[in-house]
Amino acid sequence: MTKLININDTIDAEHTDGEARKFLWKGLKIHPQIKKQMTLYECDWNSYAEIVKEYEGEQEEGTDHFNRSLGDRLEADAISVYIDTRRKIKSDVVNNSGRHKVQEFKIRNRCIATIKAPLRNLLKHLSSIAEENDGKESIENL
Amino acid sequence: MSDIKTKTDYSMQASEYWQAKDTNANKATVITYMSDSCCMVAQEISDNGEQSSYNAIVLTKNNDFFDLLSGKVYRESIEMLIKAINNRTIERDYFRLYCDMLDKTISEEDFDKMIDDNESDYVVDESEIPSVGKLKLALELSKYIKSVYSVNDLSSLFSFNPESINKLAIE
Repeated sequence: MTKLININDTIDAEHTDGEARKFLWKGLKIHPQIKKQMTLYECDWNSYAEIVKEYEGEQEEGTDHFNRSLGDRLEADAISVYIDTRRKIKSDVVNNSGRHKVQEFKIRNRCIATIKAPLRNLLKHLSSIAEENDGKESIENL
Repeated sequence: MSDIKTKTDYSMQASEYWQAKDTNANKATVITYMSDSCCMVAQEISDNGEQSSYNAIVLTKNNDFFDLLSGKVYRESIEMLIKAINNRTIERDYFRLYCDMLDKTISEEDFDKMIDDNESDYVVDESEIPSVGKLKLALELSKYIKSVYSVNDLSSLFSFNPESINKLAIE
C-alpha cells in the first residue's frame, strides 16, 4: 500500500477507483509498453487512482516497475489512465462540499495508470537540457 | 568575446563586431534576424536591381543557423504539421465510428471489426522516439494548434512515444 507521486510512477490493476477534476476521454490508443489497444482517459488537477483489486494476469516484458499491490495509489495533477476496453467508461460527478465538483470513476477492467509530466513544465525543462549541452565553440571561434 | 548567454548578448556582440570590422560597406540597409538560438546582422553591399549582396555576421548555437539557412527546420516543420493533420483525421474518424455505434448505424460487432481490420485508420501510431530538438520544435508548433494540453495530446499529434517524452522530462 504505497502512495506514489513521481512522474512515471505507474499502477496496474484489475479494478481501479479514482477521482479527478476532469476525466477526459481521449480515444483508442496503443499502450506504449504493453503494446495493446486500450482506451485512454486523462485526469487533471488533484487526481488520484488507487488499486482496489489486484491484477493477477500475465505481466508483460518491461513492466517490472509497475506497482500492483492493493492500495497502491497515484496522486498527481496529470495522470493518464489506459483501460482494457473499447467502450467509454461512465464517471459520476460528485459535489465535494467546500470544493469544486469532481468526477469519480470506478474502473472494472484492467487499468494501467501513470503519472505524466505536466506539459507546461516540459518546454522549460527541455530548454535547460539544451543549454547544458550547448556547444559554445561556434561562438568563441568568431 | 565575452560569454554569450542571452538573445540581447547576441545582438550586442554582433553589432560590436560589425562596427569593428566594417569600413566600406553600404550602411543603407541593415537586416537583423533574431531567434532563441541565432542572431544575424546583415548589411547590403550592392543592389543592381536583380540581385542583392550582403555581408552578414551571425552568432549561433550549434548548427541552428545553418539548419535555418538550408531550410531543414522549415522542411521538418512542414512534415510534422502534415503528420499532425493526418493524426487528427484518424482520431476524428474513430470518434465518428463510435458515434455510428452509439446511434446504431453500425452494430457493436461491426465497430470492433472495423477497428480490427483497419487499425491504422482509427488508432494513431505513437512509436517515434523524438530527439530533444524535434520535441522542442513540436512544443513550439503546438502553441498554434488547438487542444494540446497534455503530453498525450502532444504525442498523439506528432506520433511520439509518450513514455519517451516522460523520460526526457525527468532526465
